Amino acid sequence: MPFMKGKAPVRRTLKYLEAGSLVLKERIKIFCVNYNHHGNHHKGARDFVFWYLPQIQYKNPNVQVMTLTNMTPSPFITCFFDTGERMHIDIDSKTKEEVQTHLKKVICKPGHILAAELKAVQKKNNPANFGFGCDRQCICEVFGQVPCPGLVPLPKEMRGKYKYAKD
Amino acid sequence: MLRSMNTLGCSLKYSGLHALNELRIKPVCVQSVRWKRKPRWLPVAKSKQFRVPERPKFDEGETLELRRLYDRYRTHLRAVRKYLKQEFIDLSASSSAALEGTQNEAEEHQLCLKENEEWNKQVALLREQRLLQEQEARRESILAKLVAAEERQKERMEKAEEMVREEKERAKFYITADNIDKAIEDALASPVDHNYAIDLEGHIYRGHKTKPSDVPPDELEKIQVQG
Repeated sequence: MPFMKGKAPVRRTLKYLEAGSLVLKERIKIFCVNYNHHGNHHKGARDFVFWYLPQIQYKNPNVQVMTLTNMTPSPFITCFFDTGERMHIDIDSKTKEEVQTHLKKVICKPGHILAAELKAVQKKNNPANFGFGCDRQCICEVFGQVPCPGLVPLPKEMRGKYKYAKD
Repeated sequence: MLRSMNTLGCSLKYSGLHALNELRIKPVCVQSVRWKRKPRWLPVAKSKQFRVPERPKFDEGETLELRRLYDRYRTHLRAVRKYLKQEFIDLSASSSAALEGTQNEAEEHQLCLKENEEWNKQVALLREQRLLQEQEARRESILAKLVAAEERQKERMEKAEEMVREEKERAKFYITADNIDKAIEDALASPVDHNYAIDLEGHIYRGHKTKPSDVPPDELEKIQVQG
């Protein structure tokens, strides 16, 4: 098939990418992994890069995600913050799951913030909304609702000047 | 006077009837204007020299009511604007709530850094152990290799010595310059006859003219296999 490219093409599917759980904090700008191609103590790092890095980049499109290979004897991750601070995370002889759980604790957005963001997005995307920033400007555009009084005058019962007029 | 009228009259086209020229409409009734405005360099007209403009008279009650209404309206409007301004400030990045959020963030960041330090220490311990084990393994393998190399060296030396011994043994039978005469005499004295035949049972028939029928069966020799 022309689109099943690479060793594990499931990593390229939308479902897999959306299922990524590592959403990095906003202050992290660069996420760099150092590992080697050979060596048992690098196996966890290699697996992490193979399976979880596409998800990380998908969930954080504005973070520079990079890998440096065969440069150091032990594997580690470096996170660069916008303040210029660096955080080194040693991943020698750790499995990819352990690395992932640790990263979730240390450099990812906490669960409640993610939930709040999800809620905000849902509110924004709700197709039932109308007004500024939505598809429909006014409820009068919807078929079945009261038409715009600018086009069709309201009946007298609905107009304030007739309702509250004291004769 | 005439000239001024002419010059002023020429401003017809530019005073709005230009549009009529463009549209090529011929209106039935055209009213011309002398001028639109008195030029500033002309003196005040004689009829207007001592004119005193009439001050407008305002009804007191009306003005009070109007001012009351205006004040009310403007107060309301100011209140709404101030409210919106305050809301905007509250939601802005430099508000106290946002600053508290950043302080919280800073604290959380410090916590995360500490946790990461702990993790790094543990991993460092694991790495030290692994390196020690690897070191031990390497030392043992190197020792084993050295021992094996020594053994091989010993074997080689033994083989070499054996070869030397064999050669020494065989050197006794070498023909040198001393015993060449004796060797020649011995060789001449003991000729070796290679003309013999062998049959399938292994019996030798010596001599190059000997037929198998010449040798009686009880005098046959069997070939000696040299092992």
